[in-house]
Amino acid sequence: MKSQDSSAVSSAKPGRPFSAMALVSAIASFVLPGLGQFINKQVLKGLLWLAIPILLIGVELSTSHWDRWWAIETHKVALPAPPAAAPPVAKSSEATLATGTTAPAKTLAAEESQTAKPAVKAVPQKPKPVAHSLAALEDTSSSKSSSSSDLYGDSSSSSSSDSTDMYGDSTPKAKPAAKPVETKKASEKASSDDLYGPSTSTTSVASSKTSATKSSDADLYGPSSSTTSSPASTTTPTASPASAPTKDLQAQTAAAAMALFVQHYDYPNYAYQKGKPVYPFRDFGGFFTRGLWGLFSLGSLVIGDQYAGKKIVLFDQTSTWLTADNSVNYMGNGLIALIVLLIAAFFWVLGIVDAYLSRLDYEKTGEVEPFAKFITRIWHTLFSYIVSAPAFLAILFFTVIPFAFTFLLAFTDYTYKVHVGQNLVHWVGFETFRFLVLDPSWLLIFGQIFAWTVFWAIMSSFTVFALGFVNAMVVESPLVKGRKFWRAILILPWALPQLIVLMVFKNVFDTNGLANQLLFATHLMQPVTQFLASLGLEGHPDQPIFWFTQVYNGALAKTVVVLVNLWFGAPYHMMMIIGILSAIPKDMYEAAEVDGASAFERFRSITLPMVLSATVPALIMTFSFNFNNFGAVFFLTGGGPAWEPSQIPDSMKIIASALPGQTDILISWIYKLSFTKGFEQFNVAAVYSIVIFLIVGAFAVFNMVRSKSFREEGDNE
Amino acid sequence: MTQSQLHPRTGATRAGKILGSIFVHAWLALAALMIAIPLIWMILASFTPGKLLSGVSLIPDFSHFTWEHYAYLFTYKSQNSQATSDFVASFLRSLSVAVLNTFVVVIFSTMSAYVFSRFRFKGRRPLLIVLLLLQMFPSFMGMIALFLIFKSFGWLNQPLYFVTFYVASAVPYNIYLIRGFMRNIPMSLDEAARIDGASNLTVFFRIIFPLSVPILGFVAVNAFMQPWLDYIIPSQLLTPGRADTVALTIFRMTDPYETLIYNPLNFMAAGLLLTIPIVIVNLLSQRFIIYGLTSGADKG
Repeated sequence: MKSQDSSAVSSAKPGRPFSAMALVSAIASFVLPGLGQFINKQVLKGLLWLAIPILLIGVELSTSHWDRWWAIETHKVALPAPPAAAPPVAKSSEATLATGTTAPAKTLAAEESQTAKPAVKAVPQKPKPVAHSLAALEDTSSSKSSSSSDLYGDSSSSSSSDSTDMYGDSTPKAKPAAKPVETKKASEKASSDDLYGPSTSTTSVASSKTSATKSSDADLYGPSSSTTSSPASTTTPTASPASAPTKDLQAQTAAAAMALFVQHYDYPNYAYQKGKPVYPFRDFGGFFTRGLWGLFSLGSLVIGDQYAGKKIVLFDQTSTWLTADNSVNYMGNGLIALIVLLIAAFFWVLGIVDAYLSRLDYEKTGEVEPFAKFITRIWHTLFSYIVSAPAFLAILFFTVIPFAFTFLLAFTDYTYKVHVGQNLVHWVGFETFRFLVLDPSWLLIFGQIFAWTVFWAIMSSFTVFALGFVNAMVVESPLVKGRKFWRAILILPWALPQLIVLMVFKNVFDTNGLANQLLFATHLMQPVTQFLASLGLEGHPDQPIFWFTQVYNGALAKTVVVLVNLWFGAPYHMMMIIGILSAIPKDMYEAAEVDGASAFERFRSITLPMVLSATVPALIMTFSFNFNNFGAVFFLTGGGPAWEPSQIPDSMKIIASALPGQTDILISWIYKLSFTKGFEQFNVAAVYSIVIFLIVGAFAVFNMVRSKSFREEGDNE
Repeated sequence: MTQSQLHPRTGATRAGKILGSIFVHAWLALAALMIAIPLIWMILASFTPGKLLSGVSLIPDFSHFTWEHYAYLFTYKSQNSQATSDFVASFLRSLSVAVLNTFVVVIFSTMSAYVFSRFRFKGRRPLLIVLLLLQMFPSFMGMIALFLIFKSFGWLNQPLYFVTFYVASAVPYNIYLIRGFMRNIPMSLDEAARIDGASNLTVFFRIIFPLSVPILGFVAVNAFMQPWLDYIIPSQLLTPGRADTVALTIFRMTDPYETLIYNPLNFMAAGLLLTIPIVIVNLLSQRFIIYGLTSGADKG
């Protein structure tokens, strides 16, 4: 780099409009962020960009097991060969190699050999002792694993807890008592070099190597790293192949002693995976590699799977690769990793551009821009971005990423049937869309819900606007006495918190609630029920009225929902329209009166057009707000009453309590589909969310583009 | 349009005026009645003994008035180790979230709105459209991912961290709103300050921010109200009974499946206690709020 640097300076002297050196520094920045800046002799600036790969690689390494992977690749850890297909395990290495090509079946032998632990090269071999005792030992040792010291000094325990928590297991890990620093450093350095080393070829190397050292069970107790010396390696060599139960006992006690020192990390033994896929990114990958692998594959192993000589379990704290895949976590982490990488890539490109431009600048002026000047320049030119960055970062992480996640869910088969560890989620493309469109029963229910949602959005917006208008006209009319008092009362519902209002009304329309009590007390129950029944709102003229509970009262419940929304929503529009009315110049009315216009004419040709033109944007906003007015339905009726059971198609009955009620609008049905415990239909909810997104988004954009302030915006630019 | 034509009309108006006055006042009285009845019933219910809605008498019966529901709110502890009652604890929890949220939202959205109203930069228009789109959607549409994020950060059952999310969901609309306000602050003020050597940030803190107080009042009230009685986010991110916010506490009082604490009359009392301060704040800040509403309507 030094030589490059000096040559760069010398060759740059000629100073052409198109600079080869600028290109060189741009390419250097492309190869390694910051390198181009170094070439341009802007060391601090270069360090700024160099921080990007350092941060990324640092996060990747500190969350990964690539050091362990490297230890296997470099044969610091020798793994026992997989057993042959037949139970007798002690075979020659040639035989193992020969039979190893056939997939290791899930036989008893394979089960037993799960207990095989990573072995140290130096440790001599010993034939297989009784298997189940080992298994028992393994159980006890793994239960102690949290207390055992980490001789290998791996990164899993030293990495910060919040990054390891990304895998969904939030149990904090015990810090290793002693860390062999050299080992860690060496392996980390090595793994950074070989991050993307070919995995398939190395697997075969490892397997042949391990088969050369023969399968041995004494190695089970050995420490995982050759650089660490342990009591086990001194005791196990004495064990002879022909040893009887006493030797086993000896070995057991030795192992129990070792359990206190050795971290029981089970190395994935890819020799078992001959002819089957291996997942090095899954087993060793850090936040980014494992995340991206997870995002694309959504996991591949579930509880009980035989993988690399072991059985996958729900959760293994020490050997994280033994933990069954959690597709949803993979998806979330993968999405975050992807977005972080995209942001990094964006800055990377900026670095390339900067290297190129500042080189050109240097060649023109012959001066290197000082770092402090660079910072102030950046602060001034990028002020807008820097100042709004916190807000946009919050939006990105807590709004955009969750929405993107929901969007992705629409292309999966994630439902209540997926249990963490037992099932995997799969990418299914447009399968869910296809099902929802082609299945007549789902389409029918969706159509009904959708029709009601649109009707509700129109009705609720129109009624609140109309009543707000009338109220505003009345309360602002010159005839009113005590205007302030009336206005305060009319505004009151708006000042109340929506949640409480809706829950009060839920009680008002309870069977024992105010509405029925009032009707009984005023002796209006008889005529009212007959009236409602004759309108068809009420299926049966019950006394008391079951507002939200009976199947045949669907229309009544819908009416009540609209009315309650009216009670709650009209004041907002009233206040808005009062504001607009007060802005209409008084002389317009006077002029109209002089011209002989009647009160109605004045209203029709002055007030109405003025108010309408001022409130159309607000009306559209109200419409799209009500389209998604989850609370108005959920807190009031909870979606009830239910549909007529005969109306529910059989193919929908599996979702039981996630079924929509008659007053459910789309968004509250989505809520039910997503959060009804035991009946979640995440993929269906995601598809419907996309539908809402498209509709409401279209309205919002339409409204914005036609708004005055936005058009002005466009002219300015 | 002669004088003779006007006279009969004024005469007609006088008769019409009386009729109109009657109609107008009748309308107002009816509207006031419709508004008042549920609220009066709510107050009556909160003083009715027992736990049955049917026990609430429509005519106030002061001899049977009871404070038991209010007493319950201030004394009931689901665990004896608690320092305060469930309701008070959840109230304080929600209050801390709401206050923190108010400050963060106001600061974040004012800064961004300042930038959007005063500076031209690449991607401003697309960003505005994105902001507008984002504020259209209910927060829980990304709930599953939000749960994962909170879980991975270890933030579950810690209501204070909800602020991150509330800020993210409140800022888009507020940027939009405040930007509209700031555009009406004359640019000449900025320019004058700049000639005197003020930096971008000085202009913001010394000129723009103080002048934006009317709209910030509206934003602050909204930012306080949003988490104050939000139900969905806490219901998904909190384990019931642990670190409940006040919305969860009162919701559980009306949930018949919560056999231990179901009592709609307790809810009425709690609802009243929660409503009264909000009503006072809302009515006091009405000036700000009407301003915010109308400017929101203007600017779309």
